[in-house]
Amino acid sequence: MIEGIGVERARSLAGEADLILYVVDSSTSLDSNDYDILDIIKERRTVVLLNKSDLEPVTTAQTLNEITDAKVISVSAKDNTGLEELSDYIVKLFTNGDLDYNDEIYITGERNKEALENALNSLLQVKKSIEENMPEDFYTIDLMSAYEELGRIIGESVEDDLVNEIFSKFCMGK
Amino acid sequence: MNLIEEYDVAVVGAGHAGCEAALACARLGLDTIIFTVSVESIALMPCNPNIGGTSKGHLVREIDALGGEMGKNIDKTFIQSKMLNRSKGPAVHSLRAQADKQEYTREMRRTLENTDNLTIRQAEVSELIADDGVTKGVRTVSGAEYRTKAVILCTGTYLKARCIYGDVSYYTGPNGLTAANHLSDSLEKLGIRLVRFKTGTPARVDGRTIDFEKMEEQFGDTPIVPFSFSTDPDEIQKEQVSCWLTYTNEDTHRIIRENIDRSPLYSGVIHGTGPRYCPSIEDKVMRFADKERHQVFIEPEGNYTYEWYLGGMSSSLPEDVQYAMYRTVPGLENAKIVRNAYAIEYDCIDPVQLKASLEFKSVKGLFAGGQFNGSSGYEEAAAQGLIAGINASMYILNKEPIILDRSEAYIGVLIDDLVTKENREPYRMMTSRAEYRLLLRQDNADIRLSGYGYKVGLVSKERYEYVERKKEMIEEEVKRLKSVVVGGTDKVNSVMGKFGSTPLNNGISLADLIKRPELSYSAVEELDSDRPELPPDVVEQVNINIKYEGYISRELTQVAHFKKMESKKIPEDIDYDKISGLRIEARQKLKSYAPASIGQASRISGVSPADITVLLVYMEQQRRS
Repeated sequence: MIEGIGVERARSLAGEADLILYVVDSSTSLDSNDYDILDIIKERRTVVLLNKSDLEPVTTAQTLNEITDAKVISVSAKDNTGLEELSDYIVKLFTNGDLDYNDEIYITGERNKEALENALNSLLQVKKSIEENMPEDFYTIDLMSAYEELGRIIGESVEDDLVNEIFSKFCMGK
Repeated sequence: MNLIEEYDVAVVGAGHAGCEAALACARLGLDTIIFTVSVESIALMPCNPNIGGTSKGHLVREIDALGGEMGKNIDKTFIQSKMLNRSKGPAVHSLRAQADKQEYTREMRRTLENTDNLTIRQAEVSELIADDGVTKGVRTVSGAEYRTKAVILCTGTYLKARCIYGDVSYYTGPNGLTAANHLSDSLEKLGIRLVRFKTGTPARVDGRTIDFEKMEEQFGDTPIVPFSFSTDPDEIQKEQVSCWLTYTNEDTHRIIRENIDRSPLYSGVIHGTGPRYCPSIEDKVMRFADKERHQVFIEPEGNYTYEWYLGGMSSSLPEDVQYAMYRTVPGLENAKIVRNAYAIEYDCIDPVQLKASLEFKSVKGLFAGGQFNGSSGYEEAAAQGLIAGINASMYILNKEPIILDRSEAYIGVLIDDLVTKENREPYRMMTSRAEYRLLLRQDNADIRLSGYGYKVGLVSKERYEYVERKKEMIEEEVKRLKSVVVGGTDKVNSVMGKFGSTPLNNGISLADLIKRPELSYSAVEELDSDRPELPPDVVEQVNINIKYEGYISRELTQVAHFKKMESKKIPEDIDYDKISGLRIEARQKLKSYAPASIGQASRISGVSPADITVLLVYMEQQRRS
């Protein structure tokens, strides 16, 4: 019953998505749900992530290539492998124009928009400091702020309130 | 029958670190004994004849604000004083003073000898006594035992010291003083990991053989600004000596290059790692091959001698090469060398073995300060010695240690860098190491740190109250200036014209006027009829606080974020092996450094922001369960 609901949800979401990442457990064989979903998403741009590549493979890239045209990437979330290949692929999709997006600048979420605005304001302040002939130590204050803000977007700055967000949005269990 | 004595604390070494440590402990009422291989070398300056300079001047001011001695000692014994970087803004203004070396040592020794609770002992400490990870005291080479509750190691460059130039080497400390050859083995037996570092010093030259006409004279400042906040500026205005500036040239560089294979460093005889930011002249010539000339500062060693110090030309090349290369420098063509340049190699520790209080993680009651911790420089040493002395005292008195963070003091930056980062060479303080330079100025060290000094007991109530009053006066005056509004009157605009500032149309507060780059507190005096009479140090702070208000407040926002991360303490018993999601390198580093807070963890190289997030999530999970 629960699996059926999952498949229905997949069907409706697939219709809206620009890119689908389908995670498959490579240590077990594909079941009927997998086949159903692969069928639903075959018209959409998809990347199949063959997860748990650290374990003995039962389902392989070959198996998948026989049923779908989608790009297959082997990953292991546990060992942190394959994710770079995935991100490179996604970047390529953007730069090749294969992924359609609006003419607006593409940013994700209110948080990142705020970070970009803050970074811009800081850099404008740096410009003002230079124009006013302030000594160099004054530039670094606002350069640091801009750097930290941009870092929040790419995950290079530690977000103290991120932990609270994670706990509020996901079940972290024990 | 071996001698046995009991004290509260033993300080090993009487250099700049040792003296600060011993004075702090004794002044806090603890029965203190300080050991030195030579009483004549108390607070010896074995290298450059000056105190302060960029970022180092900051350390001296902070030491003074906390109740340490270095600032007072140099104010009594300087022969030239200069404020550096005047044109580059208040964040990097740095005070620097040339010392009469002999006077400096004598004055510090006099201070130690006149301090209650302090015993001086000339003896080589050969063994650290510890029982089950707890410090019990020390033993000297004669077998005498000194039982203490805490020990502070300030051995500087003396442990298994070796001095080298060319193919000449001898196992002594600086200036031919006795090395300390036994303590290293004792420390290693306790599991303390030692490394070998090197540093060097230039030759000293007979002043009668220097042709100063060929050099540029460098004068001291008038008026002279004191280092110590307790020194009355009026008392220290005096005649000053000059220093001289000259340069190396292609001949100098050629001689060095042609003889580089005779350098003990380049031929592999010296094993220790030298300081990148205090390189020998041969290092500079080899590394910056396209630089046509290097600065050489000729500095007097003191009024008592004709010896001059050749700043910028330390070396360990053979004696004949030294003679040849020094004589190519304009003004030194006929120079006679009194003492050769040499490099010195010595044992010290990797300071990751210390907590931020400067106590060893693995041995309770054992503290360390100075070059023994892998730093270089007198000021860096004194700062650590003071903190180690304070915290050894706090340990004995069962109180919380004093830990300054990176937003409070350069001393905080120094210690955090030593215990949190990889230190592969002697650590030298520089302003670029501090993130919050506009807040950590040398002119506000008393405001920032007198409170700590008073809390600990090294700063008098009188001085503390003076600083609190100073803070109030500054606040009141800043508030007043914000409330006084001036308009576009003829008088106002004539003052604007005088300073090349845009004339006013509407009313504007005096504070906003002062913010204009071309104006200042003193510039608008004419327009400020109600101005109270304020001491110059208060005026200086008012001016800075107003002019740079925006920048200061933005830096304070950054500090708030920083402090939030520092306050997230990591439990001591945390098991990093249990945290899934940490990268392998991060886990290894976290285990080895055992950081006390999330902030400190984030500064460890090899620990990424993602690792920190994983750690935060884990800690939150633990908290909720």
